[in-house]
Amino acid sequence: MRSAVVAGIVALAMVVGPSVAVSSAAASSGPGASVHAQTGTFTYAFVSWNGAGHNISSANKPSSAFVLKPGENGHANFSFEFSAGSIPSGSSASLQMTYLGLVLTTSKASLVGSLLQPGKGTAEVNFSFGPLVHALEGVFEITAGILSSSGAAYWSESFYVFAKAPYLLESAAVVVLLILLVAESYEIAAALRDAKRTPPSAPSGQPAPGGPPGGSPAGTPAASGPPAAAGPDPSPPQAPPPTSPGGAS
Amino acid sequence: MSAVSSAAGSGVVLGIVLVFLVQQFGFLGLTDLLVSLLYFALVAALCGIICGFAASVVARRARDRAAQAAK
Repeated sequence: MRSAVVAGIVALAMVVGPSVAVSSAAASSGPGASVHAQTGTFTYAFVSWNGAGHNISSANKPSSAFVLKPGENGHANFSFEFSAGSIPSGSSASLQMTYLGLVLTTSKASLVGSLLQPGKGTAEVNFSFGPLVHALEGVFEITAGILSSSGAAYWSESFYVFAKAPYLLESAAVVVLLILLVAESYEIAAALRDAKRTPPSAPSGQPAPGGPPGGSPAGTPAASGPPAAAGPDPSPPQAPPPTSPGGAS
Repeated sequence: MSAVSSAAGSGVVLGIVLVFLVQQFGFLGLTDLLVSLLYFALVAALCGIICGFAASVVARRARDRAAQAAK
């Protein structure tokens, strides 16, 4: 069982480990659709994913996530309009993928359009899992946002993407998890088998039938050998201990 | 280690593995760390309790059966 726990920790490190190397220092926006009009007041802002007909608002749940096939990259088209104020230079559109509270990847692109006065703007951001796709598969949340140069979000909205692994054997994490699943199921079956063989525990003070007083721990056979005094001792007699050369003469 | 505690420990690990597998197969999003830890704790505790309870029930039945056979 301990080996399975260690393997589980290794699997967890395998899943989370790459994220530490790739994570960026950018702060992630909160989940869910939200509009933060700090500088410009957004009349509307929406993002289409891999085509004009796929608004990210339709993938706001894991069950309705966009499917990203192996080797396929995501492409997000940002469209926004603001009616007052301006968007300072250095602002960008970004896609951030978050997993277990860590930002795995961040893709950014500059904004195009009238930013210093009220009007419309667009941005196109390409998104790729990169080497993570070989280790990870599953549903991930991506936050699309329009950020200032300091990382503050003017507008953000989250959606889900289901990334498929490039191999038939699924991703490495799935293989490790399936091995752990089988190993732990076997451990549980072995524990139940041991419980079935547990010698009956007798009330205090009375020896259990066929076992030592108080029974024996589960999984260890009860001591049932012959008593030491019964029968002749089959072992040869031991020689007397040797005397030291400097001993009494 | 008794069979009951062994089964409960394996159940806890099994629960953590199950949460990861559900996420990998596309039914659960593990985005927020606190929410993910909540999922892990709940499912691991549930699986640990279920497996430990099953082992205790099996052990109790075996004990009752042995007691009846002794009579």
